[in-house]
Amino acid sequence: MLNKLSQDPLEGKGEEMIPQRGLPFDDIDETPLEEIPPEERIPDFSEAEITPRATESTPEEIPADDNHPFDDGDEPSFQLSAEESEALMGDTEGIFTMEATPWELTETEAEAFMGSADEAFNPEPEATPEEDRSLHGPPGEIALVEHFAEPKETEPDMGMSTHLEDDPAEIEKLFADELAQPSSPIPAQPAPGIVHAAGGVQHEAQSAEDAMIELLVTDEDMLAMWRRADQAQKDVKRLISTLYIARQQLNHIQAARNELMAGKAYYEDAERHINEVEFRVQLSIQLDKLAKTTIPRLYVYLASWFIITVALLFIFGENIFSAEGSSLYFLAGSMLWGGMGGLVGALMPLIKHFSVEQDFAPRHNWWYIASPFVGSVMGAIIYLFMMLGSLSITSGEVSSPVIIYILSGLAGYQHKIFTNLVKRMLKVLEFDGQEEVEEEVEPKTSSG
Amino acid sequence: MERIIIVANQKGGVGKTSTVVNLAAGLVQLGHRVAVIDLDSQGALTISLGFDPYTVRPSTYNLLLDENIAFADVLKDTGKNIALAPANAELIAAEYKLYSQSERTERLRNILQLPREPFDFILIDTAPNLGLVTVNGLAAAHELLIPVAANYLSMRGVRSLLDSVWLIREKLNPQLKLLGVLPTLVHPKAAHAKSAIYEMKTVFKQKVFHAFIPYDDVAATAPAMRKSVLEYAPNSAVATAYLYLAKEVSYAK
Repeated sequence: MLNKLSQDPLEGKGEEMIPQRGLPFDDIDETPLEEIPPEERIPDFSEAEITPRATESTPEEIPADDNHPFDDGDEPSFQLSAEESEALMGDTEGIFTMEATPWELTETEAEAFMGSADEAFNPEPEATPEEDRSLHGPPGEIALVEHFAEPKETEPDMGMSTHLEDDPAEIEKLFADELAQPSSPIPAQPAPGIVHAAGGVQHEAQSAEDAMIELLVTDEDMLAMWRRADQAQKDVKRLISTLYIARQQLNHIQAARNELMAGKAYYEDAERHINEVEFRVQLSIQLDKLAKTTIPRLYVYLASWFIITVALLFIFGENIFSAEGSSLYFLAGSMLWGGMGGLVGALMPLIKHFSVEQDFAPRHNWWYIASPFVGSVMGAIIYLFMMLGSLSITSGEVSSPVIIYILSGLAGYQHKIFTNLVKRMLKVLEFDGQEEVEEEVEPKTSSG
Repeated sequence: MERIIIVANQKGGVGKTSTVVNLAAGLVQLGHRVAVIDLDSQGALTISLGFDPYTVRPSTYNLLLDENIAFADVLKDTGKNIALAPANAELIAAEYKLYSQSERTERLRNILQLPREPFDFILIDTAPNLGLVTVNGLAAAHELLIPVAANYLSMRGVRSLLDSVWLIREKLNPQLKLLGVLPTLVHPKAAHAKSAIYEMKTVFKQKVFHAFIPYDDVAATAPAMRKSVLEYAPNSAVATAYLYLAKEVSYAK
């Protein structure tokens, strides 16, 4: 121990300034710091005084009996006289000659604070690997359980000291580990991620999953993803003008950044968020193009349908709405109102997907084009059902065509619902037919 | 050619601000045009050069976050031939606000690259952390000066700074080079301090400045007088050391 104390405590500690990957500069050896012309040098700074031992000798060359090459008898650059010293410090004699009064605890007090000294100075036998795991952390679950476990009765925590201070064996071990560290830089490891690096935190041994993530997700990937987030943010600002959509996208970007900052394990989650934003931005670009081509044409088409339908209703209105009108007029009326329903049914989603949701997809163009036609057909079907008495509202007799027209309009507007309704009706019929067949078959099989 | 030097160390209390103030004063004495940028929300540099960080506006906060502000709009005349971009407490908020900004790490560099009045030296003072504001400084700088108090704990702070420098050089600023390591707060008679300098020289070899800054009360008193040590106590060992440092920096390749 005495030998250790006599050594320079900083010897070799310079290595602790070097990151795991080594120094980030490659010209440490090559480029001298300065070349001050001799005439401009300041005489007060004599080389002997300001140049430490490094330029004179390497650590290996330092004689064993002279570990401090600075203690070479050189006069210091300034020296206070005894009067100056006293003026500054006062009478220090008493301070330095004062005898320390020992502060002793009784045995009971000592035991209350420190536990049994016997336990502390006679540590238990070396831990088995299993026990060792629970002491030193990984796997993480064990370490967490240990960390949050209730304090043991044998280790009273007075809130005044850490467990290390209580346990000289642990302290001994800690210093032994410290001294056992290699003096040379640790071999280069893969660079830590952006977030980890700032703290310069030393990681515990990696799990297989962590190692795989480290292999698959490089720092470049993380940085590229971060830049994608930057780009996405710029695009959102530039291309999305609707506040709530922009807000959604910015939330995605924020979430992606949080994932990236949480570490490489969350790379995929971050990517998903960024993909969503990029998709939305693409959609927005596409929509801007469609706003100049397809969408105005669809509006013109639907407006033409509307004008033609209204014109026809004006022309044939008297016949269509008259209760005494012919069946042909009622059919035409149903088709016109069905078509009007289909037109409204196309116009509203068009407004919704183009102006509100801003997710209009051109592949639905034909749906918008066909909707008034389908509405007309639905109107015709409604009329036929009514005439056939399949719907028992009018019992086959038309007292007022308005009801038929309303139903036709609704059928045209929500033709999908009405189509499903018809399908269900057909299925019921189909099921009934199958049951009848089964009923016929069953007796045959039971009779053998 | 203008040289942008950042003075950084993750460890606090190693003399970053003193180094910026006095190195700037030394460089001015050598006839250079100097600007200093305060990137520490505590505003120690701002105070040292005679401004109140609670009232000074605009500040480096605006420089980092307002798109319509130029470097010249922020600069204050300190009356010492040093132009100051001051900091105030708002800079803490910049740390958070920058997070949601695009190019958050390159704001300062972009601003300094815009056409403006050139200086011989721009010195950047940083906070004792490696947040986004400091990263902005590292991304903008050409050279890094690391003041290291001549003690063990201060030396250990260098490692995390260098860890970040790796990333800064790889991702943001490959041109960033090490100007030098400056031993500070050196007790001339303390064996520990001398050993610390020795260790610094073992690792950083030629890059440890010949000048070292001795521990002296004048370095603590001068800011209270709103002066650099070179003005307050021109004959002190600290003033001599900083003047020598200025020469080393001035002549550095």
